[in-house]
Amino acid sequence: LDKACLDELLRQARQRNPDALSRLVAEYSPRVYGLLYRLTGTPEAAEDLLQETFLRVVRTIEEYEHDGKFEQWLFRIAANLARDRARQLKRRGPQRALDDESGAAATQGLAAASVPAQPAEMLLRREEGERLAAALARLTAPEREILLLRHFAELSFKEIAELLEVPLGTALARAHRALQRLKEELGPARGA
Amino acid sequence: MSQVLRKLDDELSRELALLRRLPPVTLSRAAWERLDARVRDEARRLRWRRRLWRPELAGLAAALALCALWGGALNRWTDRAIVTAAAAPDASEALGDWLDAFERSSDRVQTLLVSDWLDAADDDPDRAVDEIFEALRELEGIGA
Repeated sequence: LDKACLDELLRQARQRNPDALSRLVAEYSPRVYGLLYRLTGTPEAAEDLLQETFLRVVRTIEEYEHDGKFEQWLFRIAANLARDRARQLKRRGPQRALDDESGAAATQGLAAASVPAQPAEMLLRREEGERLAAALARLTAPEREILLLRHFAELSFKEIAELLEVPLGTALARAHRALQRLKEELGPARGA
Repeated sequence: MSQVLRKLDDELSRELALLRRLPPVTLSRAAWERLDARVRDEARRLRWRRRLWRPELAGLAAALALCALWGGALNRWTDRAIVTAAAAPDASEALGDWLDAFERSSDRVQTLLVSDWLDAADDDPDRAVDEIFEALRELEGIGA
């Protein structure tokens, strides 16, 4: 979406135009879903949170003052909902803690979500992707969150720092640590 | 941004290309359609509510709700629907609570309150709405 198109869509969305809101859903839902899937580890939870994210957009779009940061606002809603859910799971019991749940579920969920393998090259790529997803799922929630926000939301680290309400240096350091851990988790076969 | 931070940003951004190898996850067609339908429904609902939320209509709806209560012609859910449709988001919940409190209050209190409000609604619907909320606060006091 170019800026003029997004501005016009948001103007109509503020008037609760169903077509404009539907267009925003079509435009942004794949990336928001990708983020939520990797944060929660299950398609069901990701779908629920995706729906809640866009319902909040519809309900609060009038409060959003368009300053060219719509994506930041949208992904903040999604990330906050994922955090709330993680907190709820933690409160219910340590066995359902976010890291454990998303670690296991993400690995299981990936098998179903992956493209069926074609010979050799695709199989290799798939295996590599699954290893990467499993490694990502073993990171702590804040580490995973910052990497996924950069990847799916396509926000700069400055924007992510604002979104997470931490100093830029903290966001960069956290991302750096997260990447180091991800590489460790992937092990020596990463480049193979 | 300092040079050090910029350098770190560049380096991290380059390394994060690694995540492009993640297997794609796709929202199913059925899930997407459910999402789209919910968003459209919510947009229509809020649009409709905003159109309805005008002082004169709110006064009328409040009077209707009171008549419904007084006559007992409509059941409790219908009363709530009328009030919810016409009231602002925060007010609808307050009125819902008020209806519960009203139903629990004595006949004498109900008679006094309803007759006053119906008179007020004839003359000045806006004032009637204000008085409903005033009475709500009083009823909360009675219930406490």
